[in-house]
Amino acid sequence: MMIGLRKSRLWEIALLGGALLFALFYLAPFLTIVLTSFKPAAEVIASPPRLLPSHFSIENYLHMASALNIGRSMWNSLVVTFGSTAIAMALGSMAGYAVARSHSPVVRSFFLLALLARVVPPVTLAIPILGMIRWAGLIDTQIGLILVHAALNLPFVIWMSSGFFQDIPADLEEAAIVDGCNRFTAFTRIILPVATPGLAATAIFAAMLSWNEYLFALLLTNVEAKTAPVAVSELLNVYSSEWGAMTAAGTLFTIPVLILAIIIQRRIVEGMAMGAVKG
Amino acid sequence: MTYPILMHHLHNGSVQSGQPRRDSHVRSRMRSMLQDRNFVAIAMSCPALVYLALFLLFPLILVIYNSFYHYDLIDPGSRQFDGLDNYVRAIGSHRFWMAVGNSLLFTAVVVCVEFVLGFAVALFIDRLKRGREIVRTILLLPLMIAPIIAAVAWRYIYSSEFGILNWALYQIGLIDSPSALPWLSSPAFALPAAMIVDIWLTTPFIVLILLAGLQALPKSLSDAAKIDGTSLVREIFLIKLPLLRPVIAVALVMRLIDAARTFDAIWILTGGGPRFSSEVLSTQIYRTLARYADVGFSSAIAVLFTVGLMILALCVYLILRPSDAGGRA
Amino acid sequence: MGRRAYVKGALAVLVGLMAFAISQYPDRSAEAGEAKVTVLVEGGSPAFKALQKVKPDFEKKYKVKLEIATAPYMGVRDKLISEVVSPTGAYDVAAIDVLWFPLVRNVLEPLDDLATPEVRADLFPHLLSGATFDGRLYGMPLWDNAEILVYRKDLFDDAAEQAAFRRRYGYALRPPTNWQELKDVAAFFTRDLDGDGKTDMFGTSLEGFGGHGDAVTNWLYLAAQAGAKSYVTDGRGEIVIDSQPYLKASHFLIDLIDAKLVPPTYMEMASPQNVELFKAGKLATTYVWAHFLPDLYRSAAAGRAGGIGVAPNVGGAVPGAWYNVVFRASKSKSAARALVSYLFEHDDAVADAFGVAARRSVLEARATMPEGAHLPALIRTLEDRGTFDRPALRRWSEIEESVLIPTLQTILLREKTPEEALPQARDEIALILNRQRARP
Repeated sequence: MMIGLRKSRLWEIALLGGALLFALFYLAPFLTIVLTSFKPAAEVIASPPRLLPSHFSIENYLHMASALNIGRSMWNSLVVTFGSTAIAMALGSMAGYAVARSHSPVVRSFFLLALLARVVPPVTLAIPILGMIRWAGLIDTQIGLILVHAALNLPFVIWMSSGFFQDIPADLEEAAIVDGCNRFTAFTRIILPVATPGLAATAIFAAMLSWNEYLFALLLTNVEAKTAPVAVSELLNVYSSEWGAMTAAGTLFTIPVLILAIIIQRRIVEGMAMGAVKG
Repeated sequence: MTYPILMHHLHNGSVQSGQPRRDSHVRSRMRSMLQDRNFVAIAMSCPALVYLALFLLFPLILVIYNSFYHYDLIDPGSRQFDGLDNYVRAIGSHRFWMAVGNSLLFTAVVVCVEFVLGFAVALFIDRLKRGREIVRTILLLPLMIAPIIAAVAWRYIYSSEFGILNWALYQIGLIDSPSALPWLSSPAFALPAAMIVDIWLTTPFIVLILLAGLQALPKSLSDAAKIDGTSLVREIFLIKLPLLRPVIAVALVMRLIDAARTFDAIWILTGGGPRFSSEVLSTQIYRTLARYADVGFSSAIAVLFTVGLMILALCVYLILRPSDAGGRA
Repeated sequence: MGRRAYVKGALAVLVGLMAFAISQYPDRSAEAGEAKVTVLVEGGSPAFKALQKVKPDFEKKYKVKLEIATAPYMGVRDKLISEVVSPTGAYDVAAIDVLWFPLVRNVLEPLDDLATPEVRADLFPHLLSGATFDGRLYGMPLWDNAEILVYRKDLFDDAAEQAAFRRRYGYALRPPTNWQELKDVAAFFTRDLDGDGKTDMFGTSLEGFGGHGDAVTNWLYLAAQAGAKSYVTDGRGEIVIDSQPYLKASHFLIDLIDAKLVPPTYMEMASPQNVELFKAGKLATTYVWAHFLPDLYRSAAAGRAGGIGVAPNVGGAVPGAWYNVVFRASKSKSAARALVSYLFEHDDAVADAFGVAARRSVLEARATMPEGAHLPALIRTLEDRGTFDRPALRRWSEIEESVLIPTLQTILLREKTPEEALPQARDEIALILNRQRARP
């Protein structure tokens, strides 16, 4: 028995070691970028390349600051993300609830429509949406991009939230109604708080989608409302591919998200779990 | 559906109040509306419905409409009804079929690898007794990286001159010289290079989903299997996999659609080149639109693309859908 | 209760943030009184740097705020198209590639008044013709550029090398002035320096990289040197891509490849890569855009005996000019025109940023300075009769991308002979152009 236990212990440690190694190896591309961002500018394009910087340097970050207005673009990204997530969650969770609880064929077909919307490639809608936003005078504004991002997120939010709401037993509302609520107040006072974990996960995913979005940010913004992904992509031009500044910008753009992810990782995994197991 | 308790409550309220009939009549009408399940459902889904109609349905109709016209963005006056001309042009275009082929190839390879790799890793993590959370957290991180940031990063890594990938392979001895693998400048390598980036970005997602699914499986199953003496392999393939079917079905459809729609990463990584070797439908649509300003043609390709995707999604889902009712009422 | 407060708190934070976000919406009306000029330039480009340089003085002199908007090359082009489709006056001025004139000229303000006789005399003819449509000038040149020869002066000046060359070829070693001399020099200098059986230095290089316009311009000017009078189409709209000069140019490139006188990775090369190879000593000669010279002067390669050798191109070359344009929908036209003429006056700021300029006077003045050592060669090349603009075709971008680059690459990769590939290219170009012409 003793030998068996030790063997299984060793096996455990080996597995864990292997898993950690794999995970770190998996992160290697990103770590390369982070490390490179702290290299002296000349080392960034050194051939042959070195993994570690010879000495710590923030040259690349200074370069980046002068090459693009990173503060403004990060702020724009933040504003657009919050705005579009708020709209998508507000409208989407209501609709998701309706879909979860209703037997009406109208609502059912609406759900199908939302699912279909999930299938449409965004690039397909580029020109009409560009035209609409231009017609409304909202080109290069945060509002314009917020509206479009909310639309892109809406099908996903509806789909995810309806899944979560279905998990909640209908008796809860019935009890609330007996207690005097109408359907809507039952939703806001009773159901929403219960569904918060799932909705939080949904909100996180929606926010990520907006934060990382590139195509419409590229099309709809110029100077004022340019978001960070677009700003970073501009570093690759024909005069000098500003690799140093680019690694700095990439690191800067991703690190906050990663830190946030580590803090709330449980939520995220829960959300995915619910989404997955629901089927 | 009847709501006996509610209706009774309402009825009593309005009859016994003795207040002006009209006022309470309206209020009770409203109250009963708010309590009517269907009305509330429709009311709650209305805002979203309108929003989607405005931002998705309407543009989609416009795209279909545009596809029947020859429409030069720069010269709107030249707009001309063409009927199916754009579609005929697409179907007869060699580059269109190349893009279709690339899209299919990209999607198939990427999704297969992600699922196989993802499943393997998920199984692996599932067996871990400790440290599961740490590994899971680390694996979560690539998911958070914006595709275009990843593309820009990988362009740096793939570089023949100062890219760490070729240099590392050279050091290990797998290739003759650091410039032996021209990842982004060779037609043969460009699409695989893009595939690798997408796989890197998305496998963690699959891992996490499948892991959640595995962890939701009752422990009694593995115990029973152990008692029966079933081998590990059989346990995985004959017991766990079928039970994971609903999870896999949904995730598979989602991933197929998303992989087919990929734009950001490929555009930044290769721009569809060299010589259109990594051109997929989404990059072709963008190029036709933004560079050649040919709205009609790009709309036609877009319509074909969307229809194809819908058919694909439907087929896969119908094939994989669990035969029992599952979660949906 | 805890949960409810949590939800309320979260909602409150969200609402607060939204309110704050909306408050950030730029209040356009407040800025109406303040004069502002918005310029669209390619990020990181010399135009961008020149603008940054002149910004303080310009703002002070004219009492206008200068806003510099950037986008990547194709992004600028996309935004120009946006402005054409619905002119919003989002930009007052833009720095554009000469190739984009056909796309945007309908929304541009004519600038003839800025082009006084003195100004015209100070510009190369093709600079003016490139921006002139229906007799009116629509852009003021920012800079002009062409590919010139860069060579290893230390090798060319070496007595032993000169003697060996004369023995082998019968004439004095010098920067090539025609194709035969180029081939001779290339053959002479392609060597295995360390005896390991691998060629370490190549006599010359070429550009085959498809993600870049360089390969095409390289090929096109070779055709001009072989006698072509126009690029791709002639004055009457006839397609000439399969004519003799283009065949000759194609065969010239193939000969270099077959004789192994160029690095084997030529399919990945554009000017930037050739510059790097030259710095590393792997090329004896190469052709690069003149604006790379300042970078070469700063590199270690400049430390070689004699420095960096520069010479004019063998004949004419494709001029790569950029212009400043003013949009008709601009709301600050006078300020815009002021900026354009200010930049023209301060062409030296562009020269500082880039190494080349538009005005002859600026080029000639700097030619005597060490940082302008490449300018005599550039001037000579720009003056050449074989230097003329690419045709002002609206669909040039599409033609270059879908026909010219793939055709050139097919030829360079030996997948097809020029005799097979060029007529096909002709048909494809005809298709693209006819689509444009068949419509009313």
